Amino acid sequence: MLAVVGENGAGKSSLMNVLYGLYQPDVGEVSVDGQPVRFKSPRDAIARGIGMVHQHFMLVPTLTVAENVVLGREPTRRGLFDLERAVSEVAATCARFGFQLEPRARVDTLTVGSQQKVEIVKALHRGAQVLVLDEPTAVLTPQESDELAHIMRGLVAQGRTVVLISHKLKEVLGVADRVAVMRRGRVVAEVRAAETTVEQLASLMVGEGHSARAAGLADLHGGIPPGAATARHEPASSGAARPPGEATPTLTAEPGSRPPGETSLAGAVLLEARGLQALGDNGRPALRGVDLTVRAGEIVGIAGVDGNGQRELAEVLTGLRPLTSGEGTLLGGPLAGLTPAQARGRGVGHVPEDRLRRAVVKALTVEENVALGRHTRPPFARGPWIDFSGRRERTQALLSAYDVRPPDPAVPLHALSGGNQQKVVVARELDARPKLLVVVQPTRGLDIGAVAQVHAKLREAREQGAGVLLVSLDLEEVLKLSDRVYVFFEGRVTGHFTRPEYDERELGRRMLGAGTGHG
Amino acid sequence: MAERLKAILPSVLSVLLALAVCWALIAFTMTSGTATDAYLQMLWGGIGNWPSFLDGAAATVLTRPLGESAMKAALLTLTGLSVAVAFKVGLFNIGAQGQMILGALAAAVVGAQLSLPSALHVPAALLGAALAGAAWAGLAALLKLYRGVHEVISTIMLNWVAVSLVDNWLVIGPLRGVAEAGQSITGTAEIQATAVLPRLLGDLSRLNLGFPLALLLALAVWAWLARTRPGFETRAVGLGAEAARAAGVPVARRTGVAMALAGALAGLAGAVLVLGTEGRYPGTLGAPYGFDGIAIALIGNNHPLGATVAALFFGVLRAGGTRMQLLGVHKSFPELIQGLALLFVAGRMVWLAVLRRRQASPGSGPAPAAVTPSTEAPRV
Amino acid sequence: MLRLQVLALAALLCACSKKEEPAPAAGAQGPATTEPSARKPIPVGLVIDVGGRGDHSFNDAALRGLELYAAGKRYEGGKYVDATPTEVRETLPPHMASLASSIQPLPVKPMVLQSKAQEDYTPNLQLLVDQGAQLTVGNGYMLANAVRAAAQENPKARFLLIDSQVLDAQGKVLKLPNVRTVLFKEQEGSFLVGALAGLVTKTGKVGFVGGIEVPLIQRFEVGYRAGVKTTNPQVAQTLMSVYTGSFNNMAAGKQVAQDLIAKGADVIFHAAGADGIGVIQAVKEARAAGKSVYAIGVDSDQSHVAPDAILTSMMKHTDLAIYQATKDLVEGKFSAGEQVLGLKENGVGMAEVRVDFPGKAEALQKVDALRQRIVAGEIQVPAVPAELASFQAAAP
Repeated sequence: MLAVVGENGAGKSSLMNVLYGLYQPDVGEVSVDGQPVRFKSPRDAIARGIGMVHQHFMLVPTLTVAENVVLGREPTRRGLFDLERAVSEVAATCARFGFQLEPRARVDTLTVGSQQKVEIVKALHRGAQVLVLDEPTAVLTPQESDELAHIMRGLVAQGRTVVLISHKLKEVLGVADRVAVMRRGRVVAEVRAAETTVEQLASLMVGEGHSARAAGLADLHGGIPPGAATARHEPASSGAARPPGEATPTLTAEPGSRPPGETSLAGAVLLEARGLQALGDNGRPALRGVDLTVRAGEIVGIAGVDGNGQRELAEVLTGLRPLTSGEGTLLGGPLAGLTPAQARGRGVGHVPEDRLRRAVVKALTVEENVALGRHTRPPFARGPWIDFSGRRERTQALLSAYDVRPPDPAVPLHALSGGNQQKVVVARELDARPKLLVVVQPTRGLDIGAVAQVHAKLREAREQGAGVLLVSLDLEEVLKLSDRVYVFFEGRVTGHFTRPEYDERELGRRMLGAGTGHG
Repeated sequence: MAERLKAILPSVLSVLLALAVCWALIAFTMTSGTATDAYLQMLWGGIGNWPSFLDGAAATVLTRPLGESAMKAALLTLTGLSVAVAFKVGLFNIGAQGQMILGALAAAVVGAQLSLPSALHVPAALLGAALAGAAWAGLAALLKLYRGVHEVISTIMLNWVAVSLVDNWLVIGPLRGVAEAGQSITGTAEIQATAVLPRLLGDLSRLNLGFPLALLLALAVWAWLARTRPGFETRAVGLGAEAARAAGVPVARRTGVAMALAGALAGLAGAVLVLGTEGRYPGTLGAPYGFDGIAIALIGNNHPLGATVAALFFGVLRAGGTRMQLLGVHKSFPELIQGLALLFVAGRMVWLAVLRRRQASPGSGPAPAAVTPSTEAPRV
Repeated sequence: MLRLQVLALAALLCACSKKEEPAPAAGAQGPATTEPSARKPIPVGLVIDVGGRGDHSFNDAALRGLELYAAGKRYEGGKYVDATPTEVRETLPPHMASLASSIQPLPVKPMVLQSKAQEDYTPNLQLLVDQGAQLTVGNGYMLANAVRAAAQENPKARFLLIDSQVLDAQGKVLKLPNVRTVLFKEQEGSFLVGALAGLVTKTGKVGFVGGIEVPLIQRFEVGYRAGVKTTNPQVAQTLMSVYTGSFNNMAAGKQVAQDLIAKGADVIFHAAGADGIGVIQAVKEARAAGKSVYAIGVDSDQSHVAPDAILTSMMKHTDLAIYQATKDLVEGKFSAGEQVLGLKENGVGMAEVRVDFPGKAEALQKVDALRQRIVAGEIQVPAVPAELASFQAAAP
């Protein structure tokens, strides 16, 4: 098993897309089993035994597991789709590789972890000898990540090759045989997993002379920063890749910039909600009675597996989704009937999960995006007119404060990388000095440096007295930043933890539904 | 500047290519000399016959063609703006024709039925036309916002409804102009002299207030879109409705207002036609300026000023193109040039792809970055 | 005054035909080949309406008058070629064949502009004036306003307006010193084809398809009704009349005609410009399907569109009117004023009946008798619907 690690933008995804036939190499060649090949499309790659599991699943939610797996090469009987054969074939593949999946289950009823298994089975079913997994654990619970690691090892034991793309160094070291480190489009090192450490990998990833960033990086990934003076208790991180022998289920604290357990910043109640209910996009209840409080000066985390109502909660609080029942007070006004404009007016900031859909308009320029939502107020407007110079000045200030590259306010937003786009969003929302900041998956897809920066900014907002509601699928992130954590499962709160009493195992159990009925 | 050039280039190349193709077609069916003569005739018919003017001919050899071009350009500018404004809010307004028909009828009715001093009559007729067009477009917007009917479907349907309602009923029925017994007239009653758009050059040409009005509106629309808060919100809704909603932009209101504005502009095109040159709603509103507006907007890159430039160009071409007939060239060539240009502009994606490939091939370094946006698109 | 002019026109045509009988062949080829260097042709403009060239009807009649009769040319693929006298003769119905020799090419250069929309009329007229046209023809009542505007703007230019008088803003007749207008008694020609239809129908049902319902087109309908009533009063009571509302929509004409055929009509008269081509097509298709149906063409002899299906055509000799105006111009005799041309003046008529049906000779005899009575003034054909009820059918 080979792991490919590197910062965002280092070229991991591009490399894999070349392997999978999505992009054609300009120079150089790809060989399979010693033969040079040229993939014009994923179809060619599949034919040569390469399978890919994307970060975003490519499944049809309303079809069954079996249908999804055979899609594109359906077994037929007299020209008609033969469902029975599909089911038995898929069941056979599952049995062979040790997957526990019900072929007749509809994909949209499965957990994210199971959906990922469907993706893997799909690739294997097509005869994949080489399986490429792109950031597979990003959306999984610790338990699920463990299981995935197990599956991957099983595949390797059966003679398959697994290529794992990740920037979770620790998890990589736990499962991979070899690790290739990429930086700026090149493989800068290739090491045996057994012979390296998180710290070494981190400094390889960022390159020479970036010790500070490497430190932050290693910190983030649960290593000891090279040359760090403070003796810190090594915090155990969550994840699938727990090195054998390490058994510290209780996460005492990850200190960040303040002493553990401090919640004295918490002040006035900003949000008080009782019995919130709302429907999801599919018209089914997504929130089924949520009680929630957020105070000024605290970060409140929402932990949970994807699709358990966290996103809908964020949308309710920002006026994007109507409540079907329940009541609450948000910054001095009722929660029911809230419009996005009212939410903004009361001082709610929002860093949504789906950046391109909800937060920015990628065809507009950077400065126009910075103005979006505040375009009616100075310095972005003067009366009914746009204030071009005010907008330019403020944008330039933000771009340099957040180290956005390129720092050009006039380019269209889509000219920026995803990480820089996210920085623009965070910059904009924090610049508005919100009283309550609703943040969903703020660091998804960001590289390590950017993640650290966003985290620092969130803490800064907290210290300045804002309340922050942090929704993230990355449990590590939630635990690291939050003063309190609500655990969501199927639209209900199944657990409530206050720092420092974070019990990661218990959290994980709650995320999977244990404890329903209280909390 | 280079960015801007890149945005304009496909349109310019498309128009040139269309001109070349039509020249070749004429040369192929007739002679190359005829084709060149026809193009020269078109040019002199569009921008004025400068050679004969310099030879001492009357000023009308300049003013008449220029006036005709300007009037065509005014109509094309207004319908082009109509389509472009709707595009900005993310709607494809195929209904400019119907909106123009309603506007023309309103202008004809206000112009003929009301008795007002000139200073009030012209604005009243223009306002009536704008309101009628806006209401007609507003119907499509309401259907979209409250019933989810796609605007392409509803505006196409409303075009037919407009034709049936106005051309096939009102104008030959209740609103038909009355003539002395036994005399046949087409269209509605003639508008009163107070409602006629004043001519700018008197007898020298038919150029009237409609042309500066269209240019002024183009500037105003551009300023509104580029410089004002509501205009910014409109663009944001067009480019990312969800993000705009999340940012507190009243999406429904912006959509409705932009669509109504689009309708008003198309309605004004009808008014300029009726109050400027026709003097009444003709039996049928023959020329499909509303549909031309789609071409004008697209060739103008959906930019208000771009559309104006395109309208000026095609105004010259269409007004001058009539003269091609004097050489026996078929009457449809000016429209053919416009249609081909549109076709080539629609191939803009191909243009851009060609440009990108050419840029990407020498240095492979920035290629992934350049590719990313396009590969992202289908996923979103 | 008016009658006088008309008589003069008719007399003139006759006189010419007698005088120049032996010389047609030389005359037809003469001016185009031998004379151009001697005398520069006089430009004469013609603006035809949105129906365009090739409508086999109203516009083609006008083009024939200017291009074939006046200039002796045929328009082919964007160019003019010389026409033969035979071609001229073939366009005239039998009872007017004698006129053929009186139609001699004149030293004129035709300039034709087709219009793409109503708003093109005025600029097109202006363009022709600017191009030096000595006489500019506006073909059709839809150009009435445009001719008014152009004539007022160019007091020195001369205009011929077909099918309408010039009207002012209130719809009152306006007399302009540089415009000659020509109206036709369409009711008289329509009367004849109506009379024939009444004799030919077997189903006892006949139909009429009009374009836009204006007094002009109503004259066709009223005359047709009167003709049917004269030869077959019962059929007249069930006569079906429909207006398409346009002159350039073939599909509409076809649809309407199919409907009439389905309701049992076996003779359909159209006065609907290009829509009428659709009517003829519908009839042609119905015949192919085994139904015995006829269409009656309008304005030009439309027999060649569908030889089997066209019973006859109601001829409207705009061609002759345009030829005459051009001739007057060349001879320096052009005068403004009104002309109203009926059967008597050869302004309207009935085309040769080229199809066979039982009792054809007898029927034609009856119709011709009616024609002579109209010419003699014994029958006053009604022109407006109000007069129709009181019109007493005089048995042939």
